[in-house]
Amino acid sequence: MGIARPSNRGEIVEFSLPHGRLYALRVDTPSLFVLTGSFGTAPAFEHGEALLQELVVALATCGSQRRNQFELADALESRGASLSIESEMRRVSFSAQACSADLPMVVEALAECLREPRFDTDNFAVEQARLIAELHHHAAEPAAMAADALSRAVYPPEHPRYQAEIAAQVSLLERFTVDDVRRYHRDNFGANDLRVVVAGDIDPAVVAFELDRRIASWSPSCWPPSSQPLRSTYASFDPSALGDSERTMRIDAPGRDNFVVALGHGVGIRCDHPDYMAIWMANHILGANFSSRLVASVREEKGLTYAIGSQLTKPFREFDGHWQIDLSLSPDKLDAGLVATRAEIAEFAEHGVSSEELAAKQQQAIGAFQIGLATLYGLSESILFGAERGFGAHYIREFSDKVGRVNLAQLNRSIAEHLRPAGLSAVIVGPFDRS
Amino acid sequence: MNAAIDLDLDPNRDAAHSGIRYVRSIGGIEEYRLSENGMRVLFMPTHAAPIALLMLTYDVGSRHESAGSKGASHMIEHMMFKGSARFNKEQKASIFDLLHPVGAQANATTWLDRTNYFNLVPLTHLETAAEIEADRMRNLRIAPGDLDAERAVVLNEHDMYAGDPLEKLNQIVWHVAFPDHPYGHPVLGSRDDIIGLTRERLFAHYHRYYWPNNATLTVIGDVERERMFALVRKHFAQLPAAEHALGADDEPEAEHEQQGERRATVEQADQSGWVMLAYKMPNGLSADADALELLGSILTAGKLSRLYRPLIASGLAASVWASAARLKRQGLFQVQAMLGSGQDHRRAEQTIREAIDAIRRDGVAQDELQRAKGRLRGSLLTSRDGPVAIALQINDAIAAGDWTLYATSIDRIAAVEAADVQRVAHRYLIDKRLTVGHLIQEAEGDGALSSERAAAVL
Repeated sequence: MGIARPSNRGEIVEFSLPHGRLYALRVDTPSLFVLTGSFGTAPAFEHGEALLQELVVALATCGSQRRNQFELADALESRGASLSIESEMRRVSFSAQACSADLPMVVEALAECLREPRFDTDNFAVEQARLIAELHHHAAEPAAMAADALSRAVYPPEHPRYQAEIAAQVSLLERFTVDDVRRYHRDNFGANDLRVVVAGDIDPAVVAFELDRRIASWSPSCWPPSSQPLRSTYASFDPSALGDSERTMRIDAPGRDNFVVALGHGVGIRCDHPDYMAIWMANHILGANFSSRLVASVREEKGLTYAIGSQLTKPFREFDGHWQIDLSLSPDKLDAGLVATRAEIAEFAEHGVSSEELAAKQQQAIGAFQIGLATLYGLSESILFGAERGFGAHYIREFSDKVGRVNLAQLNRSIAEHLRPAGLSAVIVGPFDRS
Repeated sequence: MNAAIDLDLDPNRDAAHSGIRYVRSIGGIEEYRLSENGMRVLFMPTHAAPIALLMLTYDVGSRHESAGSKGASHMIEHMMFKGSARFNKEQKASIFDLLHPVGAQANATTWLDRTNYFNLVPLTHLETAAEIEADRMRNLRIAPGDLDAERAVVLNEHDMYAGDPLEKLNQIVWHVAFPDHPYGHPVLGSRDDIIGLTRERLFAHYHRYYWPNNATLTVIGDVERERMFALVRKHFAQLPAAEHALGADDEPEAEHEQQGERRATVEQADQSGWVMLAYKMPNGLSADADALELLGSILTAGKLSRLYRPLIASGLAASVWASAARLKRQGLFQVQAMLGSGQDHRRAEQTIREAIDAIRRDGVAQDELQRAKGRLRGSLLTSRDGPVAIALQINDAIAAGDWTLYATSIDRIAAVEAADVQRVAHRYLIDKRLTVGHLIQEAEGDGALSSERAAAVL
């Protein structure tokens, strides 16, 4: 039992946990640390358990079997420490930030919240009402309205990324009981493929000791359940089944002064796909930064928008994602902005990238990644990203090689294969009545 | 934290040698002045990563704008990325050509009291960032075609914010609180303001404020002091100082004293309810602002705060928080709450008022003050994660009038006593300093912003 002996691999010290991995990294920052991590879960999306998981994580920090919510809050708040637990489809993630001296206290609090939450009936009602209010608030945000509507155009309802209409979500949330929460926690919370990263002014050996005390004895839950094997449950999603017919939805948002547009289609690429890095590179060139093609053309050259960008949904090994292009347009620029954006995407898909552009963007991507590691949070998130996806402890060091290995032929083939301008669904949210 | 640091080199000797006058060191930050033109230089060596941040903060923001130039500070911020004499797209030497290709983060922000430009770069490109900033400090280009394109970009930025109900609520509350002061005007300006900004007006604004003696250069990162001195001298020392007066002559008139409570309402369809209570607070350098920050924490931060049980646990609100705008002139101390579904604005407002009344009447307990201090200290420390976060906090302190506000914040928070919290509640959290804002679901009919209604209750 306990943590196996560490193998020091350069800057990151990697430890084996009985049911997971711990990555600890000492950084020359004054007396601070960031802890991030996650474990696997198996919500039944077709039964709305994505929302149930949201409710469970909201309640997880509302007291444990040992301390009520106020005692737990006092321990953290009086030290200025922050601790949060969040739902992320088939994983639950957690993060904490605090002064280095408070590491033992934070790990103890985290372990209590994850392993033995209290789930009081009173707290249940408060958190249920709070989540419903937040859903209503979320539903009034144009960008969220566009993204949610796009998800409904791109995915079948049982897909983890499908966002149901807000009324349906509220109705579902209202039906859950505290017993549902307890059952879900019992069945899903455990050291399932557990990954923990701690970066900052810490001693890796001390981190390992604290994790050993509080987390190492945590067992996996019944995970993954035999009815939901990890890799095939959502493999049926096939973006080509969507066809190439253009679909445009218009949603009125009275009182707003601009339009928010989301364009997108599914991409059948997961993070272990051979073309994953090529598609990542393609998105980087198309719209993932301030000197991307979309920004250079639609904003800088034509002056049609303030905000434009593209993104690939965070990749997982278990299910597909989609490509999304977002932009903001003033009413007098709506048509011209849409035409220019679609034209830029079509040009990119048709002609691909030159070797000079690829070389320049590879250098930029590597530089931006390195600069992103300048914060403890960016550093720990990047390590966790690699750890969750099986890229290993050296992901942050190997990123440059991964990007450098993308060659022109692979990149342009991937763009031609996976970016389908004619297959983009469009959601436009804004003041249609006034227009 | 407040003590001068021990330097491995004598900064006085090195600085004098290079024509840069050493001023002081506080909290790991060294302050210098360029002898030639009076530009302030702040230097914070850190060694966590092989990168550096270079930031220029200008003492100009929307507070310095008069009729005809509203929105000029922000528009100039945008035009500064379109090119300067030596660094521009025609010569393939713009920021997009030189800094973005190496992954640098180069961005800027404009606010009420200041405009700042920051570049987070690999160490190899620190000098390029310094050259660009030095050139665009005095040699901005505004090509007519660039201005037209960028004006459309800024108009879209304006439209994004102008239609946002929370932004509307915030703007109308500031406008009603400061009807005769530039703080009451949106930083971006109105649509008409932006459309009316000519090249000549922009240049007039630029040439009034973009001078080394109206700027602070901040360098943070894995940089040797000698290298920083060399960079500063090479690229900034030759820039001339402004010959016209900066500072006092540019200060707008003080706001007339408020005589009573003011109210404003924003109506919008499909919108959650919000309540905002905004009290005029002292300028950002005042010690009373520290006490107000602690008071805000005691009121709203976390499950042990005064408002958690009556607002959140009761379901009246889904969230509540407080903020203190630490500005050059008096700002606003704001408490705002997002209401629970179908909850009543008046009841939420009354709950917040009662919690403030209780502090005015009975003060705060030692244990809750200590908890608030611990929370603020911890959140201050953890929020300083990386050069950009540190630079932006220093930037706010510069804008408030003294960069050492950043370096001394933890000590100042520690020095606040329970009596101070009660005293500032008595002094500032009173009806004659209060503006109340409600964001409500639009009634049948026109809806939209009820600025007229707000004006009517002044």
